[in-house]
Amino acid sequence: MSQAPIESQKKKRKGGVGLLLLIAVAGFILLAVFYYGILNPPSQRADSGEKAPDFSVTTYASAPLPPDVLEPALANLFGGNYQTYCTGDLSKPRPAEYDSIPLKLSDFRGTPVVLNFWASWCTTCKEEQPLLESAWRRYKGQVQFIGLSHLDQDKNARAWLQCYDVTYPNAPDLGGKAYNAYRIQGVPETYFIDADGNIVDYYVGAIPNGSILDQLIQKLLQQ
Amino acid sequence: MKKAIFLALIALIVVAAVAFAQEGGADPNNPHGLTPEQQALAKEIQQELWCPICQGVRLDVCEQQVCQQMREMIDEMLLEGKTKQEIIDEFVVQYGVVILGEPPKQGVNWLAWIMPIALVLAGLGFAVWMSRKWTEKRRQEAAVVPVGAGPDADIASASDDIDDDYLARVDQELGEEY
Repeated sequence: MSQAPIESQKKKRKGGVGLLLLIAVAGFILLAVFYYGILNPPSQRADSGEKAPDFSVTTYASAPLPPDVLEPALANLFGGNYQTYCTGDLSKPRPAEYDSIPLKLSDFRGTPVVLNFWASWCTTCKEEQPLLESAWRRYKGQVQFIGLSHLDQDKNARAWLQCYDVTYPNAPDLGGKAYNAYRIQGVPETYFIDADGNIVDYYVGAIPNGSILDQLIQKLLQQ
Repeated sequence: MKKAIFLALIALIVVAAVAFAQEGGADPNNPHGLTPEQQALAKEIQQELWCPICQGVRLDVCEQQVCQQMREMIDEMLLEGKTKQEIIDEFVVQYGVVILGEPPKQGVNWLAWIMPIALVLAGLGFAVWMSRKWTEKRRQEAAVVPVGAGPDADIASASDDIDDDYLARVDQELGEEY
């Protein structure tokens, strides 16, 4: 009977120690999480030598947008003088072979790929787009071009493609899945992927002129 | 001839009036002509979404072109009769969860979701535990009989604030005695 108070005191002490232990463990977990975060910063973009992440997308429809949708969209994207940007016939459909078809990077294994991430809201993409289309027309058969539009809307992206008369396959990167897989941090960015699906090179920002794009494609073809 | 000129003038005035009406009719703050309810809902949706290319900028105050496009898309979807949830869901499909301004629910990010709830629960648990302890202590203090006025058992059971060593000694001595 006389041992009961000591037991109760012991129990209380045990409770206090348990609580302290719990706080210590919680603190340790928090510290571990912070250190994990510090030691593992957000990963850098996919680099040369890496396997290019595969992606699965559905290309944009090839049919031209009706004028009552197209014209306001172009005016929004380029301003009132959109005709100065647009190189194509705005009523002409884009190539039927890429009309709303499912497309994967791995479909092109055996052919080098130029993969361009762009967006209709991206200002510097406007300088780059004609260069890409021109290179595609010159290297068609040797290199496959693919465009993925990032955080974009069907109407604006299709207006853009119509405006620049883009004839290589383009698709929306829904939810930024490919963008995240390549760990990209902005648009435009262009990846140069060899026939085996390995990244040879990448270019951050708008490729400034045709000769730089040519050099990058030549390097890709020499792989 | 005069009649022709007069008719042409009338036609010109009508065309100019129609053009002016169209130009003047478009409110720059409401270019799609939403009803006041739709405008309020558009604002509500804009306040729940985040600029996908900025750091911590809400859609309603973002000036990037991507945000302008998103705001326009909200207006258009409201005009199509879509509900707020349908619009938000469509944005998530198209732009990813980044536009919700929340960390994706995967891997170590789960901690960001679990930790606040766990901490609140732990805090509540601690508060309940402490309050019970205090209540018990109060009750025991109230039950303490003045020293020398009651049986030993009372002292032993109401001894929270008595020094541990002292209590142990008393117990030991009592044990030896009886």
